[in-house]
Amino acid sequence: MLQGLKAQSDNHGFPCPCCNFKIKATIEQILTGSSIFCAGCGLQLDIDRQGSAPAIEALQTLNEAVAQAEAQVAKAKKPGAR
Amino acid sequence: MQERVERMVTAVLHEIERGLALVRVPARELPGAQQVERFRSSLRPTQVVCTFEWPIAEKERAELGPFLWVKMSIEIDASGVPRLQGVTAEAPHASV
Amino acid sequence: MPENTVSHIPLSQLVGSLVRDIVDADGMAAKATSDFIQNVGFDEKGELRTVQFSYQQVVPGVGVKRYTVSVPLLTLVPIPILGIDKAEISFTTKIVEMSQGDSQAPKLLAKIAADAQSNSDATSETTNIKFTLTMSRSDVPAGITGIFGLLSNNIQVTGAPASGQE
Ligand SMILES: [Zn+2]
Repeated sequence: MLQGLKAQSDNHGFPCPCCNFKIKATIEQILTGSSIFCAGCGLQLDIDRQGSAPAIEALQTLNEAVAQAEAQVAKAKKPGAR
Repeated sequence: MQERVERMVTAVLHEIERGLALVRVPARELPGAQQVERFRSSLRPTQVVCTFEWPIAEKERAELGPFLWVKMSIEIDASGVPRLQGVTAEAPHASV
Repeated sequence: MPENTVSHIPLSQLVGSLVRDIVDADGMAAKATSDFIQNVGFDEKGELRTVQFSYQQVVPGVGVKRYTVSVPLLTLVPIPILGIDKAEISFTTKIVEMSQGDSQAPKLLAKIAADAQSNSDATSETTNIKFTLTMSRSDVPAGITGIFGLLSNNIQVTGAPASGQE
């Protein structure tokens, strides 16, 4: 019996350049290019889509892989499925 | 009978030690093994509990019942060596 | 039914192979973490993928200034740190033979048994032994600590000279 094949999910974020508060952006925010705000000081950060293009592309690939995996999990959880 | 139980306990302890030694040989090679090793935790065996029934000789059965219930508690140290912490023997069907 | 002697193996091998399976599974989990970090966090040249954000800040005596902060992509996504925290293996073996040599530690041949209770035909050399083996881990893998250090050292703020003041 395995107790916890652990996947920590609360280990991301970066410090606000103004107040050092940990800023967490969602994958969606980055993919859609929406502004993110520091919850500590309210600083607005705008994504430079051009400069970040390779990273956004990698994130897009990851997002698609996650969506595919989730679809497979949902399929496996359907009643009658093994 | 005690001597024979002790012999079994010793044998089990040594088999566990030999078994753990087999695991310490280099792990199965995965692609990019070196990189992967850095992300591997220090998962290791830490404890073993063994229980077994030990049949009691015919002439003692009236008093002790058909078997003894033997329990071995073993801790495994960081270097992978099992250390016997205790052995208990109980006669669950003893008449006294 | 005749005893299938092929299924009798040294007890040590049985213990070793079960522990090895868990260690291998943990290795595969570590590989998944490693692959994720490699594929998401780094480009083909092995350089950190970064996301750039711009922001404005009031600098006393200067006015509003525009800055760019570059952060590693891996600080923006949760890293799945996969690994086995704790494992418990329970199994019952039937001891089928104990070597009778002079050695201090006789060797045991065993085979997997259904459970500890079905031991009615036991003799002192063919008893069923129930094992419960616990495995646990005691630290954070070095690679994880390393990657978090690398990420925090790669957050860079630069003033944007062209679009500087407003
Ligand atoms: Zn802030």
